[in-house]
Amino acid sequence: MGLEIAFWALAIVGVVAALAVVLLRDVFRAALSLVLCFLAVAGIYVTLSADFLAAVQVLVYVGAISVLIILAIMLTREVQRGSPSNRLRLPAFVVAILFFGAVVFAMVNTPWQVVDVPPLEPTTSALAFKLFGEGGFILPVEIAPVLLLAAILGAIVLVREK
Amino acid sequence: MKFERYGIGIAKGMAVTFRHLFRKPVTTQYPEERLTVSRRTRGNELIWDKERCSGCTTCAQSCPQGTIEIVTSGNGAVTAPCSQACPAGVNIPRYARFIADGKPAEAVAVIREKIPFPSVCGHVCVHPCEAKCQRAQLDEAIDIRVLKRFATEHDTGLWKVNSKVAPATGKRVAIIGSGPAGLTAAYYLAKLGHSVTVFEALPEPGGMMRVGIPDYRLSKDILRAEIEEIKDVGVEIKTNTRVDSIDRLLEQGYNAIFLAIGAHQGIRMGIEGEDSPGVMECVSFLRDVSLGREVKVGSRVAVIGGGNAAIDSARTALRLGAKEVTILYRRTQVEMPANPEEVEAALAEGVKIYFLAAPSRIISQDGELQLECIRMQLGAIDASGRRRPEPIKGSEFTMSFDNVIAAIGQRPEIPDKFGLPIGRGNTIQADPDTLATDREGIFAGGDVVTGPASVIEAIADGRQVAISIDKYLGGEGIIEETLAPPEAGATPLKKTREGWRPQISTLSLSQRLSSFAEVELGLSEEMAVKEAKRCLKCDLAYGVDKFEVDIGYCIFCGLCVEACPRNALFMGYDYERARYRRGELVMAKEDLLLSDEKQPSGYARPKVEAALPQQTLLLDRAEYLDKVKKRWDLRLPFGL
Amino acid sequence: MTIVETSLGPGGRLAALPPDWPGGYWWHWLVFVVIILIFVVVMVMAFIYMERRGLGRLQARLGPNRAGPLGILQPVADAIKVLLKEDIIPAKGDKLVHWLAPVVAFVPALMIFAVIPFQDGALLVDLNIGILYIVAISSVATVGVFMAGWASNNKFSLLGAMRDVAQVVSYEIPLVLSIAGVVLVAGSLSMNEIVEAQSVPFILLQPLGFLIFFMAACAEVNRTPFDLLEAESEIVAGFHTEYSGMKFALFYLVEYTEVLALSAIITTLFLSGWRGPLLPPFLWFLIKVVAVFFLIFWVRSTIPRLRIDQVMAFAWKCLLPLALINLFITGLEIVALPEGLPWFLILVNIAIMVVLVVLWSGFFKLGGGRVEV
Repeated sequence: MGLEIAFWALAIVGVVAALAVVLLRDVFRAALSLVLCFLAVAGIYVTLSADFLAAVQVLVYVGAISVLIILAIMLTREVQRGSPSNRLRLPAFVVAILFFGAVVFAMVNTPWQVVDVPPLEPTTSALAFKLFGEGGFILPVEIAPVLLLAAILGAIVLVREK
Repeated sequence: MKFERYGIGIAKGMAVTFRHLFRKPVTTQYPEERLTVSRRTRGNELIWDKERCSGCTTCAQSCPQGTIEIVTSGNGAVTAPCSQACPAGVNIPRYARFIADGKPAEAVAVIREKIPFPSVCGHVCVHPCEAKCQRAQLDEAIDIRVLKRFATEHDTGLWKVNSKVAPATGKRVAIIGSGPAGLTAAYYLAKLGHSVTVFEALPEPGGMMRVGIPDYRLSKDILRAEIEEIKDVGVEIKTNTRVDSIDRLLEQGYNAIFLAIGAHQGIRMGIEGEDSPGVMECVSFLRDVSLGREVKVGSRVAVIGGGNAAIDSARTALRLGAKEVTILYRRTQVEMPANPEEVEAALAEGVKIYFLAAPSRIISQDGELQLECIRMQLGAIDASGRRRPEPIKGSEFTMSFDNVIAAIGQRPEIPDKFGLPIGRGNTIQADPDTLATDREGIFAGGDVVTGPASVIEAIADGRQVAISIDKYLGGEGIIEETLAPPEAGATPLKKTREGWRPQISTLSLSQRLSSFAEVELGLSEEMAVKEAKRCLKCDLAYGVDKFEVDIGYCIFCGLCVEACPRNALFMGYDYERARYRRGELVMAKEDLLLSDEKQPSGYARPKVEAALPQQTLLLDRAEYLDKVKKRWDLRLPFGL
Repeated sequence: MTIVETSLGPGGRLAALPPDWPGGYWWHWLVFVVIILIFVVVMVMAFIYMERRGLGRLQARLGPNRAGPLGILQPVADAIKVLLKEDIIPAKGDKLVHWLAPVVAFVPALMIFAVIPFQDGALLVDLNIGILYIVAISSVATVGVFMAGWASNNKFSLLGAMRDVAQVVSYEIPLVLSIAGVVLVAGSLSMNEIVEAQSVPFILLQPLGFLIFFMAACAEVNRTPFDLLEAESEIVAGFHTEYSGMKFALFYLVEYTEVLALSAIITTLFLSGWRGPLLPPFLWFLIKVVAVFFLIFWVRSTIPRLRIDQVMAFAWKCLLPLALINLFITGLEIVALPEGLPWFLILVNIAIMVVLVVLWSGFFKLGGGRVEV
């Protein structure tokens, strides 16, 4: 009962915040709505007993990514007027509709499994074994840093003078 | 190595602040608290005072960035500011060093080289030297007077070894008045071989030292001992001998005469009812008390005036049994000419001081005195540099007392038969350099020339008169002598710690008021050595050839300013100027140095070099730009 | 790694509090929320008083001494004064964001205390991701500062906020890396378990980690010498230039709450939290928190503010490499010496710290003569 109330509250906040991100003219406020959206998502993770994921969501998305987005917004001009429409309006609309349709299709057609087993407690060690242990996801975990390193080097090359 | 520069610098700084936790905080409340300000106020400009710097390199050692470079040459001996301030020119740092080494007898010898009254000065000197003490810039001035007192209390008579009396010349000198000026001149003239006779009108010698300064400040035994030393060199003192005519002295065969009769006449207040019984005048009051004559005071006493004599009268009246003593002064505490220490002591003993009040009338009524006073307010600044008091009309009020003591000033009392020109304030006019009067062979000095002044100034006059008279009598006028042994291995001060003046122990209040015993008890040996070690040894300063700060590294932390034992460095506030300088030195922005012709009209940009004070650390521009350029060549890829 | 119990450990330990003390889930919440609120408000007042008086004495001043005996009512007087001030919103500012910013900054600072153990088991929730939770939550406070800077419509506010973001993002990396060292040694992310693992305070086992954490955390909560975002001489008051009255008070509160949280976290991670002989655990916790706070304002009283380029260079060129090396060495020690000899390790780690710090200060250069105006 309590969980359901929490879920619905968070879901509504999340969706409204997401809509605000798209609809608000003021880009800075849109970015703040994005922060709210991320927080709502983190809340939903908590209701799903994924506390580690929730913390990482806050740490990475709220603490780092959205701050970087805001920093980028600061460097744009005419923040309050937002981004006016341009020629790409229609193509963007089409792509968005297609993406939305694909997501809805995937959600509807996935056979969601409902498990009766109580959630793992504590989650940290189980996650660690999944990520770094034998038969886990060690390869993707290692690939991600390599990708990030490449991105950092690329950024340095782009920014450097000469 | 970098770690030395940063790590040890930070550790030093942390230690500095931590030590502050256990120290007395420094505040600037005035005048209730002593005025000391932290010199480490941050600014953008580091200013170096060449006059003060001794080149001890303490600042360079304290700098966490290692930016200060000092080149010094040789060890020059200069006259310390305190010695310059002393009218008699006592070599203060030298005797302070002797005390610090635990040699008070040698210290007394150093003092004796200039003054024959070391004990008296140790008790009552007004110490103009302390006002000039460089240490005051750092924390508090050295307590020079008390050090002198300590030295004389531990004297072994070492100075007598080198003290010589010249063979008799057969010339006779008469000195009228046995105050500090007269006895000093008598002492030096006798040492030069002249036959000296001192005439004193009062039953005991000493002048104002004897009858003006109360016993609780200077006991009679000390004065007597000093006068004995003077008698020992052959001075003859005739007491109870008033001289009315100098012509008769000349007839008696004296070759030269020194008039040192002092200022022993109180100035009258000039108000109605001044002659009522119970109204006294402070000079005669103090004289009668000092000579043991019977003086009666009632329970309520008013003292008019704000000088040292007023404070002395008030404190003496308390000791004579007055219950309530009130000082009336027409200005405020800031303008009081009395020694602040004396004022504090008087307040501690329960003397009340009414500021901004002046008496306008005295009414004698039923055996008590009704003192009518008027409130004053401070007006414009007058010739003496103090704000002139002006009466507020209709603000009269009346207070009743048993006795009123007028202490508004003294002036010399000169017999008519002297036949000398009289100047302002009833003083004798004498040549300011030689102290000779218009009459041949007659000299004058001390209070009779200067008006009421201090013991040390009178001593200085006495020395000058001795020189002049000796020259007049055909001598060379050399009274300088070397009494102290040479000093071994005195080195300039390297480092100093913040330290405060010693708390001199005094008699308890109840003991003070019941007798005329000396209030101040002097220093213990430990305290005296500690105090003498605070001396900055200004006389041993180095000559500084080069003082350079690498502004690029300077973080304006102020540690060097705090470390400097002589306050030769301070941080400035001139933000704009500092900006200009930085722009010029580091950015090399040529547009900051536009020549006058290029400037648009009506817009005067200050020329950078012209705007800088002489003593700023402005380095040679070309040299500096060269340095900066080198650094930029070496810079790392990220530009840091 | 489990550490062998040594003489440094506490003499006798009180039994741990049950997770639902004083009985019942909701009672537990209510009691602890009240305790945390009181703790934060009282300690913040005490900290303000201690800092102002202590800072005064450290700088040879008296400090505030007029309100109440020894000036003890100064924080109260300050609070009353600031509450009575007019609340000003810049005319062209973003009113909603301006209003929300202090709240957004304050809530995370308060939420940190949910996982701080005051004594064994005495905490709101013993999350098994305790320290990660703290890192995550405290990063939200940046958004609050940023909102304040943006909504004020003032260039100094915005500059302050930008500096804050740059600084926080930079220093978060060495901060988390030095926490990782502690977590490796303790074998848990839970704050209570980290304390329980400290039979030897981790400041001895992780001296370099402590140093890095202390400096990075000072930068995170914007204490001098890293208080660039409110550098008076450069940008007036930084992000809160346009704030007054109650909202300014909230920012002030945030500042000290963050310092309090920082002291509590250092106490928990490095100074063995509530553990200690003789005295009751809560008192030990308090003593250690106050000691850490003293260290913080002692540093503040001594070291002048760095320049912005120096601050960034310090994070990336000094703290980050050192934190990485520290993590690596800690990992090696745990793999190589599973049942370690703490005393031996302590000496080795201190030696490593000294060598690394001395070595690194040689490599590393804090932009000497470069001044860009």
